[in-house]
Amino acid sequence: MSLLDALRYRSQALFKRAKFGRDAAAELEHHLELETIEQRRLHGSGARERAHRAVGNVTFILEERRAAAGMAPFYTLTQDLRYGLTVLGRRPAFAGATIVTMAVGIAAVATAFAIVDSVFLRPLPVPERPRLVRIFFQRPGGGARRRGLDAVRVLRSGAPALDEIVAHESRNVLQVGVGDRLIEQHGAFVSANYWRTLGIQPRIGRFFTAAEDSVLDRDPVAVVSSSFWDAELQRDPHVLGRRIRIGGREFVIIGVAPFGFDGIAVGEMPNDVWVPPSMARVGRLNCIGSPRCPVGDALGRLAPGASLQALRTQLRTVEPRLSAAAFPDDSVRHVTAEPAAGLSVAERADYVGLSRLLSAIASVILLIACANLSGLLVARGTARQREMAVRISLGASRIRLIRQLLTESLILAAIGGVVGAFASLWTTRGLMGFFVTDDEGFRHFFNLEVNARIVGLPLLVAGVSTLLFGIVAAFTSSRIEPADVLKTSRSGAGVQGVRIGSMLVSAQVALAILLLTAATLLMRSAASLMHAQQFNADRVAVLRWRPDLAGLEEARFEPALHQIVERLQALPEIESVAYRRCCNLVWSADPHGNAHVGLSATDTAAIADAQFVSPRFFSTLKVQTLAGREFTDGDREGTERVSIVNLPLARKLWGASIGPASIVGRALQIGSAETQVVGVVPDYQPRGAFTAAVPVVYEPYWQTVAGSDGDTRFAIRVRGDVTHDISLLMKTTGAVEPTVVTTEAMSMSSQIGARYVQLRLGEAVLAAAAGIALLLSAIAAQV
Amino acid sequence: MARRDAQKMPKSEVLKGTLDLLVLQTLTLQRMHGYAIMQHIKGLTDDALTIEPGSLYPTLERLQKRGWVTAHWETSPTGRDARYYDITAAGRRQLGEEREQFDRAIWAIGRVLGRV
Repeated sequence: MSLLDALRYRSQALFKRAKFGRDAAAELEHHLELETIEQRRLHGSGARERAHRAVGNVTFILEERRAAAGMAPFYTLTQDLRYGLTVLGRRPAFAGATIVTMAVGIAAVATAFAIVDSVFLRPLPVPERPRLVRIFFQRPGGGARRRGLDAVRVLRSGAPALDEIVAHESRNVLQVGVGDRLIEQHGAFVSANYWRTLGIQPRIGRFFTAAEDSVLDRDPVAVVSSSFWDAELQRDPHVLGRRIRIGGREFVIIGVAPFGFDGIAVGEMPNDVWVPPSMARVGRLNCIGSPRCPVGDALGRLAPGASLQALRTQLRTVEPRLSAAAFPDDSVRHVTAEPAAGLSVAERADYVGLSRLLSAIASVILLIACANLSGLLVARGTARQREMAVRISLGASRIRLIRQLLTESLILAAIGGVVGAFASLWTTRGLMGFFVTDDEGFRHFFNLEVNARIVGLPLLVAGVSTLLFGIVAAFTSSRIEPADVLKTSRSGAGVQGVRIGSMLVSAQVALAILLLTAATLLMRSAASLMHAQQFNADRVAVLRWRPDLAGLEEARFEPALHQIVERLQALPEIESVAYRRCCNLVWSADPHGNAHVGLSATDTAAIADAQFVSPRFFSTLKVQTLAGREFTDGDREGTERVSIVNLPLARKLWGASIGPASIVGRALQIGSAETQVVGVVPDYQPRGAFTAAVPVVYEPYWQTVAGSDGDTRFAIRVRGDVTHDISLLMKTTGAVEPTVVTTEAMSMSSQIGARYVQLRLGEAVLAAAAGIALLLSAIAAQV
Repeated sequence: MARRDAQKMPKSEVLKGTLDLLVLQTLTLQRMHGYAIMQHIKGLTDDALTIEPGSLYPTLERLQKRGWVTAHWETSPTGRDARYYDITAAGRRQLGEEREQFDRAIWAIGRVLGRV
């Protein structure tokens, strides 16, 4: 027999177990018939019985034969599984409770792991993922700092461990015009080797070439995403060669990216348009082409056989050259590389707290589930002591009993594992759904596809729990003296089990109460943040008007802005209109502040956040001025410079005991400008209980127009329903200057909700965890 | 006398380690089904060696697993379907080795007993 025959024999034995059984039985039957004939010849009557005696125990022969064929383990496993399912079917309460407990524990761990995996570990969803690395200047605090295309050029000559280096700027808001429609899209400026490095092919057309990225502003070619092609171009079959406007300039579409490809900035906004960096000025990246322009990230691909360690060594040797290419001074920054996995280094910081919270909650739930599982298995062991005693008395070996009990645990673990794995897919998507839309209304994308790790972990946890609890329970249950157990009354044998069970239930209830307390505290904190703030977000719509994306000059956007405000105020639906330059309406752009302020020109040591706000800004938000007035239409360029301070800044500059009224009229130096304080407002910016107040100085929107790019955010208080009026507001702003896109339209309440997503999420997760913990405790108490 | 002594001998001792040898040797004569193998050995040894089905069939299974015999279903001369076993080339080589080992063992035992 050849090796092939031997393999065939084994595979037949393994996979054709039913046929094996039938053949063996038929062969024995044939043997029995021939033996009967022989016995009849020798003895006449009673031949069949004699033949049976001569052949012996047919079941035993078949089992021996299975053992000889190497099938015994499969056969006994099948027997054990069948028996296990029957036993569990007879105890549905126990089986159900155990499966629910395991599923909950596994789902909690798997969800926490899936999110940690998605944020920190998961490679980019592209074919070349194993070899891709991110290269960045390390900040002292652990963050990343990107320093532009010049540094990428240095890398191309100084890091032979990389066979490709891509320069990309993947986080750009672009104003895209399709026909007569204007939309805001996220675009990326990427070097021509981007696609080749990632290992992806166009769905239609082609990607741009190195020649098309060689001369500044020369080649307006664009690749669009499949979703853009679907949603904005209605799957136009003649998409290639079609023209779209980006930042006011016409581009030719040369290709469509593959379906599902959203770019490489995972955790951020999906890219819909890709353009060569030489065209980056349409995205207001005006320094492109000049030395040390801090625009562009570097993504490298390791050469075949090259290691990350080798790359890091090479990076250390080119560090001085990279620093010189990227920074204006002569100090040397540390450059590092890490696998291109999870979110970008800059984004991760936002998710560290969430990951820790989820891991902590998952650990507590797992602890409760483990306590529950131990309790259930102790209860089962106690209930089945008599059964085990009877089986041992009838000759069953301890190993056989242990194997049977382990099989039962395995069945529970397998069902619990599968249910837990499915539940974790649902909870992971649900949790990440909190982050899909940010406080500016932008969609974010996460790589949540199911991978081997995500499926494997729940099964591993299930396996480990089986080992931990199943083996211990099996050994304990089988290590009994049958005579003692059979003689002892049931209740006597169960006393110890009941005692352990109640201890475990008490522990679970304690943990559940702990979770419940934490959830309540977090809810109160969130409620105070949402409702006790010193401004009123109800019936306020927010909009962002972006003349900067359209490249509109100051001479054009200023009258347009006035016209928008006039038209909005003329609408009967509108109660009041306010606006602020650049940033979010009620938060500081930079928590550390961006302006030097002080009491005189020689004393500007204090740092504050400078915000340029419109007349009626505070009354629109219903922020009570503590003293003085707010800005009026009279605070314009050419009039006396005025300012408003918030209470934290006032206390910082003039001392904690000063009254707001006495500050009004005082001089305040903001950078090189001397202003007069005309009002004091409270610290109304929403913040967590442990976040310090930000000192803020407000300046009139129209007093220092120079330097503004026109990017403006509106807060519009309406008389009726915000969601109902938003389209009217957008139509009104859009009608004034049709080339400028109006975006980020939403109610201020939803914006605040999105801003505190982690708090809301923490609150939801803790409340759910407390509920689950109570449910598990209830199960444990009942079973 | 010799026959009676042989019958008194504990069968398992006689067969220990030699069942493979006996079955393989039997199959060199012709292909046979299990019952025929058993009857052949029993008849040839005047009932001195009786192989129980409980030993024979697991042995046939083991020999198949090792590739020394093959099995297939065929209609027997009595018109019944029977499973016939054939020795393979590997089985013949194995038989040669086992015969040599057996001969050496018999010679060695004979020397100990002073008969050689």
